[in-house]
Amino acid sequence: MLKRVGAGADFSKASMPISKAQFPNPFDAGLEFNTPEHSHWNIVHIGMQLPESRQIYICADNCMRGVVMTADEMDAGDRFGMVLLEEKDLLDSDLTDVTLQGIIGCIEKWKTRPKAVLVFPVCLHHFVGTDIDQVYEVLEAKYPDIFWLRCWMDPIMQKRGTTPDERERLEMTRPLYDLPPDCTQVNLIGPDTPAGSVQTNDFANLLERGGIRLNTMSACPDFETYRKTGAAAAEIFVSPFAKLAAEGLGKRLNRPVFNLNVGWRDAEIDASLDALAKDYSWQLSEWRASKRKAAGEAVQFAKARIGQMPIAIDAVGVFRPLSLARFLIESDFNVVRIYADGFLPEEQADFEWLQTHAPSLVLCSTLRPEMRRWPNPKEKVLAIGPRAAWFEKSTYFVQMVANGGLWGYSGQRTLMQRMCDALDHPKEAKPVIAQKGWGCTCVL
Amino acid sequence: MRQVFTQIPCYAGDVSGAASALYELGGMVVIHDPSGCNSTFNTHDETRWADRESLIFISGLNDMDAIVGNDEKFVDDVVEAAQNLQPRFIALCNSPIPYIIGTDFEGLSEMIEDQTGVPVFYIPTNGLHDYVDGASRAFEAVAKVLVADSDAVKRPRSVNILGLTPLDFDVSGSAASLERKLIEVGWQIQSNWALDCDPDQIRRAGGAAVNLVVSSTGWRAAKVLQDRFGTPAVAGCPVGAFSESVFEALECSARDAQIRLPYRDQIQSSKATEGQIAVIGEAVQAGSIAAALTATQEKPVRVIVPTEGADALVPNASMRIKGEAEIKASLDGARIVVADPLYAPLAPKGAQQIPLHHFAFSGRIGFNQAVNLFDDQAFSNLEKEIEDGNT
Repeated sequence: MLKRVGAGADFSKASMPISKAQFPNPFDAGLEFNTPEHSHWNIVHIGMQLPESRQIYICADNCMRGVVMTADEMDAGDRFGMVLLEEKDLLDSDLTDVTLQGIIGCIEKWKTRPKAVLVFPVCLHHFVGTDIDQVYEVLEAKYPDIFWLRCWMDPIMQKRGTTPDERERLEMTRPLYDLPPDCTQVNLIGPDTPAGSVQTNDFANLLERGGIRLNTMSACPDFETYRKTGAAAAEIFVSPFAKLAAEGLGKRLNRPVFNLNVGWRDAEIDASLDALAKDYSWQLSEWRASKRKAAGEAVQFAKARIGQMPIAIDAVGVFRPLSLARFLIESDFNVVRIYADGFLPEEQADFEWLQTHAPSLVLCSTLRPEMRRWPNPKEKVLAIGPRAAWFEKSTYFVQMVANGGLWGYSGQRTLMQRMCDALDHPKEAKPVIAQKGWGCTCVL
Repeated sequence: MRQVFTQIPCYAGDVSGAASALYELGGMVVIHDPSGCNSTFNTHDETRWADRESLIFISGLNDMDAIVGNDEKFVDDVVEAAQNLQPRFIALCNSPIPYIIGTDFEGLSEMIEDQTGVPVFYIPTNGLHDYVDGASRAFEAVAKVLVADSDAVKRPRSVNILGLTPLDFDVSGSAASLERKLIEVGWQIQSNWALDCDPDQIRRAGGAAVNLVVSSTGWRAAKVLQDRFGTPAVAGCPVGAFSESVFEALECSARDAQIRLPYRDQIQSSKATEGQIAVIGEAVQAGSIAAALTATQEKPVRVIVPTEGADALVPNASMRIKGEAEIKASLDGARIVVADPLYAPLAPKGAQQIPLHHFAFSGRIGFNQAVNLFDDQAFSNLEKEIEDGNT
C-alpha cells in the first residue's frame, strides 16, 4: 500500500461526474503525474516487431535512458544503438554531422548488418535545425543494403499533431513491396495491437473461415517475408493509432482499408463485420447469430457472478472506455469510474448517452498532479485495465492493453470470462502492471 | 566516436538523479519537459515510486510554448499544484529544450516563490549528464536552502551521511545497515541524505561533527556544509576490511577538521592500474570496494569510473573513463571484473565476471541479485566470490 506523506488534496479538477464533464477533454492541462503502471507499448516495443531490424536513437542521456532500458528489458539490447549527445554537440558542433557520424558509428560497430534501421532523432533536432534529409541521403547512398526508416522521438510535437508512435507505424509500412493484390491475404496494420485468436476475435475467425490469411508483422520470420506482405489485397486496422499507417499504405498500394471499429456494442460490431463481409460477398447471418448468442450467454453468466460489484475501466486497457462502459451499463453491470484523460472523437455518442443514462459515472484523470494522492476506494472494485487497477488498489483486475486481442462478439464473450476470472483469482497488481509493453518479451 | 554505444546502456540521467535525491524530503520536483522524464525516472531509476509517495511531475512542455516562450503556463501550473498539494519546497529541473532556448529558471523560481510562499530552488540539470551530476546538484541545493542556520551548534560524535540514494544503494535496508555500523562504533546519526530518512533531521544537519560522503552525489553538499558550518568530510563506504579505515578517518576529521578520502590513499599506493581485478562503478563506492579488496587480497585492484562527479573523488585520474571503447580498453588484462552484469559484453575474453548490480545502470534488470554492501555477511560473500575467482 502506498505510504502517504501529504495531507490529501482537492480533486475537483481531476475527477467529476460525467454529467458535468466536457467532451473530449474533461480536464485542464497542468503538471503531469505518471503512475507506476507501464503496460502500454512505446516506440521501442513497436519498432522491435519489425523482423531483422535495429533501432538507433540520437539524444541526451535523460531521454536515452528510457528507450535503452526498454530495449534491455525486452532482451533486445543487441538490436539497439545510441548516440549520446553532449553540450558541445548542441552549442559548438553541427548536429547534422554529429547525427550522421553517430549513426555510421553504430552501423560500423555492429558485427552484422541489419536489414532495416529505424532512426530516431529527437526534439533537439527540430530546435537546433538539423538537416535530417541530408542525413538520410548520405546513409542511403553509403548503405544501400539497409532500409532506412525515418522515425522521430519528439514528444514536444505530439500535443498538437501526430504522435511519434503514429508516424513510426506509418514508416513501418514503407518497406512493403507494391505487388499485385493477392485476395487470399489481408494485413493487420499496427504491430502493437494484438490480433488475438480466432477464439477471441471475430474478424480473425471470419477471415480464417473465408480462407484468408491475416498477416501480422510480428508473425513474419524475416524482413523479406514482411516486405512481401505488400501483396495483401486489403489493409485492416483496429487501433485508432494505426489509422495514419493503414490509410497511408492503402493509398500507396491502392488497396481498400477497413477500420474495424473498436466499439463494444452490437451495432458497431455489426457495421464493421458487414463492411468486411460485403467486400468478400460473405453471408454472415448464421455465423453472427451463433457468436452473438455465445456472447449473450457469457454476459448472463458474468452478471450472475459479478452482480453489482463496482467496476472501473481505463483507456490503457481498451481504446474506447466510454463504449465499454455503455455496453456494461446496458447489460446491468455497475460501472462507477473511468480513468482517461481524453476521448477519441468516435466516443461522442457514448459520452452523451452516459451523461443521460449514467450521470453519476465518475471520470478520473490519470495525469493531473493531485492524482498522486487519489484515495483508496472504500470497497472492492473490479478493474478493467492496468491503470484502473493501480488507482483502485485492486487485486481483482483484467490485465490487458490495446483491447488485448478482443474484438466483436468473441471479444465481448472473452472479456466476460476474464472479468469472472479476475474475480475468482485475485492477484497482486504491482509486479504485473509495472512490466513495460505487456505481451512483449520481458526479462524482469 | 566516443558517444556511440551498441553494447551497454547509459547511466540514469541527471534529472533522475535530482528526483531521487529529493524523493523523501517532502517537496515537489517539477521537471520542465515535454514527456518521458517522469516515466523513465519512476520506471527505471526509482525503487520507491509504487510504495512511497513523492510529488514528482513534468510540465508537459509543447513546441509552441517553447517557441513563443510561454513561461506563464509553467508558472501557473506549478503554483496551482503547489497550492493544492502543499509541498515543503519546490525544486525546478531543466531538460534539453528549455536548456537550449535559455529558459530563465532563476526568474521563474522567484515568481513561483512569490506566489506560493514556499521555498523554490532551481537544480541546473539539462538532461545531458548522468545521475551523479543531477543528484549532487540537488543535494547541494538542499545544503544551501533547506539546512537551517540556527541548528549549527555542533553535536559531538554526530555524523551526516551524504549521498545515499537507491541509484547507488538499491537494496532495501542499505541505509539501516550503514546507520547501524556507524552507531556500533559510537557515532550518532545527525542526518541521512536521503534514503529512509527524516527531512527534519536534514534541516538540522549543520550540527553534525563530520560528514560521511558515501557516493559522489554527496560531495557538492559536503563542500557547502563545510563552507557554512565548517564541517569536515570523509569520503568512503565502510565496507568489509575498509570499514576500519573509514571509522578512523571520521575520528581524525572530527578532531582536526580535515577532509579525508581514505580509499583513494589506499588504492593509489598499490599500482592500481596494473591490477588483475577491476571494479567498475561510481567513484566512492567502487573505490571503497577496491580498497577493501586490496586489504584482504593483498593485490592491486583497478577502479574504473564511468560516472561523472568531482575529479577529487576518483582514485586515479586515468581511471575516469567515458565511452564504450575506452571502458573496454581499460579492462584489458583484467582477470576478474566486478561490475554490473550489463557490462558483460565489454569484459575481456575469459575474464570472470562478478555481478554487482548497480540500479543507476541496469535498473530493474537483475534487481533481485543486488547486494547490500553495508551488510558484513553479504559483503563477505562477495569477497569470497572474488577470492575464489582469483585463485
